[in-house]
Amino acid sequence: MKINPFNRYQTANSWIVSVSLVLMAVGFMGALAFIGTGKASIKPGDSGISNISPETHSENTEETNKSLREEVAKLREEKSTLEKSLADGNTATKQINASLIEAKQFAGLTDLEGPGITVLLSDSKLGPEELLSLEGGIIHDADVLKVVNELWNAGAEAVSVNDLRVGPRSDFRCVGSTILIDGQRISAPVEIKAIGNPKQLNGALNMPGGILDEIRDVDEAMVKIEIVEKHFIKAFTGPTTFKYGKIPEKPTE
Amino acid sequence: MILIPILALMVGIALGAILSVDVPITQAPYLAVAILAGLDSVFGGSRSIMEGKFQTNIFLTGFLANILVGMFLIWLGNGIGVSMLTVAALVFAFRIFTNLSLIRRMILTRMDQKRENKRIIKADSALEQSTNP
Repeated sequence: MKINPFNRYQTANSWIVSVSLVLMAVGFMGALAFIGTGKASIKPGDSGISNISPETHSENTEETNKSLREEVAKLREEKSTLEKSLADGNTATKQINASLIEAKQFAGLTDLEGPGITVLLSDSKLGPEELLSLEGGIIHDADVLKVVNELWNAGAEAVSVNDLRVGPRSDFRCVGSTILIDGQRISAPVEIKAIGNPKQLNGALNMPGGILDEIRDVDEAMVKIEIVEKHFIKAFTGPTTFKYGKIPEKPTE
Repeated sequence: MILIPILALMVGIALGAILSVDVPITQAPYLAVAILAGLDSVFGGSRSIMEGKFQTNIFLTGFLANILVGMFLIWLGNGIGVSMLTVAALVFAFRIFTNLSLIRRMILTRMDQKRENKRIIKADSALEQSTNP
C-alpha cells in the first residue's frame, strides 16, 4: 500500500487541533468539578456550619469550656445559698424560694439523690469475625439517646451520662469515634445513671424487643444493668440562657 | 506532536482553576457526564488515529452529541426518578476501558514489529557478510 505523504500531513494536523480542543474542554470541566463543587460544598449555609457549636472544633476551647462549666456550677451553688438566706425572712419569700427550688429540681439544676439504676454500655470485645457487622459492636450516640429516652419514658426523674447531667436542652451527637453530650466529649464505656423506681426502670429497659435487646443481639457483654439503692446525680452545668424565646407578657388562652 | 494536546489539557485545567466558577451541587451530574463524554471522545479519537481512520468532523460531532445526549438523559432521569448518571458513567467508563485496551494492544504490536524488523535487517547484514568474505 502506498502512503500519500500529502494526505498524511493533512490528517496529522487536523487531529492535533480537534483533540487539543476537546482535551482543553475536558481539563476545564475537570478543574471546575474539583474546585468549583468543592468550594460550593464548603460554603457555610444558613442552617449548616453556623449551628455547630464551636467547642466541637478544638481541644483548646474544650478545656476552657470545662473550666467555665466548673465556674458556672460554683456560681449556681453560691446563688442557692443566697436564696436560702433570703428564705429565712418572711413566709412570702419562703414560698417563692420553695417554688424556685422546685423549678430548679425539675430543670436538673440541683444535685439529686435517690434510688435508681445504672446502665453500663461498652463496645464489644468480640473480634470482627464473630460480629455480624463491626458497626454493631460499637456504642453509638443513637444507642445512648434511645436508652435515655426509654428511661424518661419509664419515669426517671434525673438522668446523667458519664456524670454529665441530661438537661431539658441536652443533645447527643456523634463525632468520629466519640459521642458529644452538650458539646462535652465522652466515649465508651458509657455509664448512664437514672433516679426513679428501680424496678420500673429495669423492666422498661429489659422490654423484649427493646433497645437493650437490640444491643444484646450483637453481644451480651455490651450491656450491664445494676440496681442502686442510693444514687447521687450532679446538677446540670450547661448553658441556661435564652436568646430567642421570651415568656409572653399576657397569658394566652 | 503529542505534546500539544497535553499542553491544551493543562491550559484547560489552568483556565478552570483561575475562573473557578461555582458549580451548584444540583448541576454537578451534568458536569460529570460532560467530563466523561470528553474523556470517552479523546480515547475513541486516539484509537481511530492509531487505526488511521481519524476524521475531524466525526470526532467533534461525536463529542458534542455525547455531551448533549448524556445531559438529556440525566435530565430525563431526574424526571422519571432513575439515576441516569450512573448509567451514563458505566457506559462511558466501559467504552474508555475498551478503547484503552485496543490502543495498548496496537502500541505493543507496533513495538514488536519494529523490533522484529530490526532483527531481520541485522540477520540480513550478518548473512551478507558471511557469504561475501
